[in-house]
Amino acid sequence: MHEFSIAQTILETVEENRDRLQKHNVDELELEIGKLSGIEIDALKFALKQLVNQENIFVKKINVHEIEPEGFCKTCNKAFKPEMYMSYCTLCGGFDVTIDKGRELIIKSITYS
Amino acid sequence: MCDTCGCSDPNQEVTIKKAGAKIENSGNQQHSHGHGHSHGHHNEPEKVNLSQNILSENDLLAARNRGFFEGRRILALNIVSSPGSGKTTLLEQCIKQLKGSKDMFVIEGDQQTSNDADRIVNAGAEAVQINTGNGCHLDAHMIHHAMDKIQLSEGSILFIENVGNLVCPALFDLGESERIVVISVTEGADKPLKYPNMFNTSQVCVINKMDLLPYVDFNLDYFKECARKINPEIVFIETSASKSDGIDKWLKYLESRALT
Repeated sequence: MHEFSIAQTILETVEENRDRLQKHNVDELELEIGKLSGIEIDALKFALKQLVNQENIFVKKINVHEIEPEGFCKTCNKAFKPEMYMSYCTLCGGFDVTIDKGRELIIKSITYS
Repeated sequence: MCDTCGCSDPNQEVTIKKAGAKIENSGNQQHSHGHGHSHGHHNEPEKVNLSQNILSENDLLAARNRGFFEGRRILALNIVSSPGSGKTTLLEQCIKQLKGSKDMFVIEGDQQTSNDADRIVNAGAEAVQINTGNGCHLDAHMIHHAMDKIQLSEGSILFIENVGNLVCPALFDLGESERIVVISVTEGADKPLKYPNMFNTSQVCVINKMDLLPYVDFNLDYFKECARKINPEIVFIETSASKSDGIDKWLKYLESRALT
């Protein structure tokens, strides 16, 4: 359940900015989570909801954008879609690849009111 | 509550203590979480575009730890595995063999007890025990505080034995030089496919309990094939730590990585 620690870190950022802007509520919390980030989105949402209740923060909407993995193969010089965590090109089987997208763990924006 | 440091729940507080010492205080007691807020009357919605990495604070602290290690030519190894793979036994054997020729320190991570730190001290190295309470992994912050409890000498080796868990510790950079994943042959050979993140982020894989291979249904070639699919660069070291077999290969690896 590392999602709990991640949720805690997110809410610390939410609180810091809320206090800085002297706001009360969060209308929308927008996150970008890559499919290869090692985070279960449902577990993260559950943890956020639990912590929001405990910490008495009002959050109207949690919007999670799931980022699809993208890789590039230097052997066949083509972009490919990695099969989960496999570190090889799904087109030619080459191992000289970079994983360019899918590992994101980002707080994109927070809308306060 | 705070899951990582448990600072608001005294019953689940993270404790850090040198092996043999009494718990003096929590390693994380000094930071504030800023729960206070003022109540202005600005109710019009305001969007803050952050695009901020959620783990950025951990990564910054990890970078600070890494700088500390590199500046003192300390080889810091983050050792991860599922519970019971033989991490502590591997370290005990290694400490017994290198004692006197190399300074070694161990940071032990477990949810409860200081049993592992006590074993390390008996083997002949200094150890700090971190008890994470409910936490399932170590983070860079805990390592930073644990280093206050020991005087790491220049050119030494620091082993960080993470909480036995193949999932959560994968996400948290501690500032280590390399990450070592330990697996025993009594586990499933398809573990790299089941827990890919851990194998993907490790540089070395120690395959332990090799002496049991004739008695268990573990296909070594298939295991290596699975691990290489996840991480083509991964290096394998085969050991039977409790019998001291293969420890020479482990020591050779340590020697090859020693920062000079």
